[in-house]
Amino acid sequence: MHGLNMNIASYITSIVKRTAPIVLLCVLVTGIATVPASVHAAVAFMQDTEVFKSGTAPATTAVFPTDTTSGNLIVVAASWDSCGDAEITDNKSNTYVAATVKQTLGVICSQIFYAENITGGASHTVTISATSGTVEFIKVVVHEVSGVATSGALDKNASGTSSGASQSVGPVTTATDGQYIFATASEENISNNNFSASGVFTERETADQSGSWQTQTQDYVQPTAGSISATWTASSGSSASTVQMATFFAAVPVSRTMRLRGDVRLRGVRLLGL
Amino acid sequence: MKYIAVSLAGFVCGIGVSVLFPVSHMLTGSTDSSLSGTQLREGIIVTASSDEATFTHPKLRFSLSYPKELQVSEYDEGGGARTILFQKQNEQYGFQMFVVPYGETTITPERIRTDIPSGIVREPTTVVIGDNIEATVFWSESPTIGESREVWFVHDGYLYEVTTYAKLDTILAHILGTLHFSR
Repeated sequence: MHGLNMNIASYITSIVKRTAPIVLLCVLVTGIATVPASVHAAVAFMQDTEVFKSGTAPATTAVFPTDTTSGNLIVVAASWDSCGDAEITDNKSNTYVAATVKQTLGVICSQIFYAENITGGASHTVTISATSGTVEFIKVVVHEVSGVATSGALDKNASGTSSGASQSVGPVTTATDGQYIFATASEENISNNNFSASGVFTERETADQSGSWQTQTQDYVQPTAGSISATWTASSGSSASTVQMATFFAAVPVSRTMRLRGDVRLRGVRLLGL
Repeated sequence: MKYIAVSLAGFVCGIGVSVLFPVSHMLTGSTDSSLSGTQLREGIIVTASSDEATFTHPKLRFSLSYPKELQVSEYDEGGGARTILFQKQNEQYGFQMFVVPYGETTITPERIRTDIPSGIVREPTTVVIGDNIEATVFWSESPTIGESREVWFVHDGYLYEVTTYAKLDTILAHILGTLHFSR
């Protein structure tokens, strides 16, 4: 076989093996058949990045540490002060839309945005810009996720404020199995509060003290559709936070279409038993 | 005597059918016109020699050389997937590349079951093709084309499933020897 780095001996062996494939075939088919069936693609968190800015600049930019992949989902947790409007853009001409309403708590507001079926690549940057009002603080956390539907990806969302040692948002009831659940909590760090993920969620961006601001993110791939709330443990229970959640459909795998011309002759031979 | 007459009549009819429908018709394949999918025109074709042409895909950033007698067409399969078909007109001669976004780094049993419902995977072997790309090659069976040669690999977030007729195994190996990704 040319070009496939198989030597002649192994290729001859492979030809011989083709005459007696039944046992191997049965083993392979049996092995494949024992794997649990799944009609959804495997959703997976790929990477995240974050940036915090203070000062008079109306925008700030986060940079992914490694190349992003076309077709993936980008989810953005943004929080800023003065609570004018904000928009998300990037250097790959992807389109970002809001996944939740803008949630306000005192001087802080927060919102989840996303871009589906992205164009990815190297040095991918995501920028948040305040389009109205005068902001001093902006914090943004950005996730890249694979295996999410490439159109109509958003299923459910929830938004609110929460306080106490155990904080939460939701519940929402997802419509399909295998969804990507993204949740974020933000607060002005006056009380030195500190969130951490609880329950089934995995913490991605910890609630570090970025100046006087903090935004935490966490996620979960829900195996089976149903009710879900995002929950946090807060170190300073008296402090209130904005809490938000968005859920995204897993992609339904596109199966292969055989477009090569049909082999009528081979089928005829098999019918004749030759 | 009656049975002999019936058998003889059947034999004569069989010969008649063979004359009316020559072997060449039986060898002619068919393309299923019911297949859905939007045709794309993203690839760039450059004639490289009297026998070969080079196909370059600007989005997937690969190129390969192929017999220039093959016609190239590309189909949007939805969900970011596409099929690039290299096929000689009216003949069972060619190959196709099905390319689908893929979050895994290896070929999973689930993916095999998705695209080969029969699960027929014979003699899977890991090889290196073209531009130092590690691929899995195996024999399979397709309801459409019969015995097939499959070359599957993952590159830059996509799964590539290259398929050809089993009889064209050597030709496909030569073509994939020219496969090159620009980064």
